[in-house]
Amino acid sequence: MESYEKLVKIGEGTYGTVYKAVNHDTGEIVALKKVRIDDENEGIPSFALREICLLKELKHKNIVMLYDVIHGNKELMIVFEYCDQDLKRYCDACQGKIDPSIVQSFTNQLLQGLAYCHSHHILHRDITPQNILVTGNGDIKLADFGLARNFGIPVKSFSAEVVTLWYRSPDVLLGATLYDTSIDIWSTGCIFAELSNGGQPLLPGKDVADQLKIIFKIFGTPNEQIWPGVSQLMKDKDYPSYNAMSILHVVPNLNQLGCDLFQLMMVLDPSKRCTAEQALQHAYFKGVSEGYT
Amino acid sequence: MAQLIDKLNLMVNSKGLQHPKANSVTAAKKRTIEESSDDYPLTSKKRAVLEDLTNASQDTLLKWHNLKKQQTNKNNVEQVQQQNEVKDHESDLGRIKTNIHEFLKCDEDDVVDGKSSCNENEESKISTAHLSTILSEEVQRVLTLPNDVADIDEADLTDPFRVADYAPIIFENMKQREAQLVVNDYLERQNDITEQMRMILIDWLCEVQQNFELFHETLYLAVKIVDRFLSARVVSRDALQLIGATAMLMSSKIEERYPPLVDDFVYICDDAYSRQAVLDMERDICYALDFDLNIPIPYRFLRRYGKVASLSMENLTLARYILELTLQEYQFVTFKPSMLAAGCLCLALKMKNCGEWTQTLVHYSGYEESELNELVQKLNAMIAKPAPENCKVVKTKYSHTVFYQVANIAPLQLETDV
Repeated sequence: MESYEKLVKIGEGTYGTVYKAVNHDTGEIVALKKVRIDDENEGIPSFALREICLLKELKHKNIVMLYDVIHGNKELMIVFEYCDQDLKRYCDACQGKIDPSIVQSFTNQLLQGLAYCHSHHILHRDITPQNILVTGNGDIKLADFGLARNFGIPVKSFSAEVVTLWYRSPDVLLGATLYDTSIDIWSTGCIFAELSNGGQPLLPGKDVADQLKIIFKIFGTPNEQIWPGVSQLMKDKDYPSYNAMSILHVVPNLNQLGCDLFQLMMVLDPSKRCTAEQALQHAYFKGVSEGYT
Repeated sequence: MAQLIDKLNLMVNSKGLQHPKANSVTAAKKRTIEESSDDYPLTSKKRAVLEDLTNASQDTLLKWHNLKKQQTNKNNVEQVQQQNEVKDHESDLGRIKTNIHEFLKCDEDDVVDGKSSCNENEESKISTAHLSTILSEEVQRVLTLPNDVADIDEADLTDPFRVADYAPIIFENMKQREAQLVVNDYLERQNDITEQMRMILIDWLCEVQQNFELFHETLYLAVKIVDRFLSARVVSRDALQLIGATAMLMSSKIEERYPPLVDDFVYICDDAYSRQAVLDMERDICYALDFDLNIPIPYRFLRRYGKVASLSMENLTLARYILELTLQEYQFVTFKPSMLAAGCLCLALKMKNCGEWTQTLVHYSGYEESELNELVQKLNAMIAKPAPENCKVVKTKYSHTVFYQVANIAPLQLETDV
């Protein structure tokens, strides 16, 4: 068994603590995720088991590499490729200004990773800046598959308690348990806007009700015409009736093509939201560069 | 061997399954099912399936009788408790009742309806034919539709829950992956376990799936995990039930929203194994399979091919019955999941005389009818033979009206010259 030495704590994942570590046999720097297993518990936690077995299958340049898993008696160590920082820290360091070509490149790479997941019948279900890693070369890696799961066709009903609040799609916020790849697209759209706005979160709600209010204020309160079936989801709750804002106020730094793509990703009705693959075909990405080159 | 199986029957005892942390819910669940004659009758049994395979002695018999006595007493007490608890769980009842038929309902609107295509696409959808960035050349080649093949996903483009945009790629990727995860003929290398033992084990897993109300996907994945583990490790018969139960625990963690607990599995094994033994086995399985546990299962392929063939719910259920029976038959472990699914569908079509193996089916399954003939004959022989006395779970299940009594449909007349 290879030996790893922990160097420094990087952060807390959805579950377990993540360390920067060095592999003594190869000298390689890795990320170690430590998951506790107690005698009283249920063995390998299901989110860890899912993350591991899904990442075993997913091999893509925009998805974090799983190197190894060490099952100790009391803890599980999951060894990943190491990346310098997550997208949140990257944005913080940019101090409110991110170059349009970076916005374009990062969004493109994110969508490539996502399209790959979706084509392997896997939903990520927690796309947030904290779960997206940025390498020193400007490569984007999708990470933290703790909430990810496979899906069948047609999809089954899943948990509604998914995705970090600010990046959660309106259908899931309204309590839908039948959802599909479109929930990851909503999150990606939020991040697209966040990047273009220099790292300013687009929809920073305080709770579910507030989150819905912010979404409706920007995109308009949905009705049966634009989203068939929504009245059933909204039940008898009363939501103020808002008209959609001009998109130019929402993402002022995006060019016209960018605005168009953004709107396709942020359609309230999940069945009309574009797919990752369709987004990648959008003219906005013409001439996109990979990484910083 | 026959003698061993007879002895095994004596090990079967009836006792209500319990969910330690949700006793009342389980109790309520049981009542709902028992009260409604239309519902599928869930028999609650726990068994030490393979315990004392070799030495079912007087001792064990005695132990079994005593246990049964204790349980009868306990059950009476439990019943009273259950009745009191039922009232408090009406909302749970509703939810659980829906769950029981979830698999049927979900398919009903999927297969039977023709109404899903009513809304014309409002957004301009980009054709999946240009999926250049994520597809290998091979997948792209397969995805191009020939002239005589219908595009079965076209009508679903407005329905997100059918994931129409991704469906063709997803199944192509699954086929590539199943090719990497073929199970080999492992019994050659095993010296303590036999086909019959495996059959008893899988039959028991089918029962566990019903009792815990798990998804069918969970059952199929558990069987895959068992087979891949047995291909990797030589094991003793004493460990077989432990392997099965642990595989089911692991597949539940992957597939289910609320997986049963370790203690539930210890319990249904009649405490033949300790909690720690289950946890240790989980680790062994992880290492033996190199944590590669998201394995393609034939159930998903069948769902897809059923859609291609526009199968009615009843005929799809027949194909599912055939497929579920293959789980316990060792002769089918080496088959690719996609091929098994295609074979079961092909046989179901023939039995009900409800369709040909069309070019569209050839395209989406990747199999010509001629490639399936031998398999179809084998499958037909499988359903034609009577179920062994101790492996009747699947036949019984599909003899119920909820499943259209498809297990009673006559097999094909076997052609003697094939």
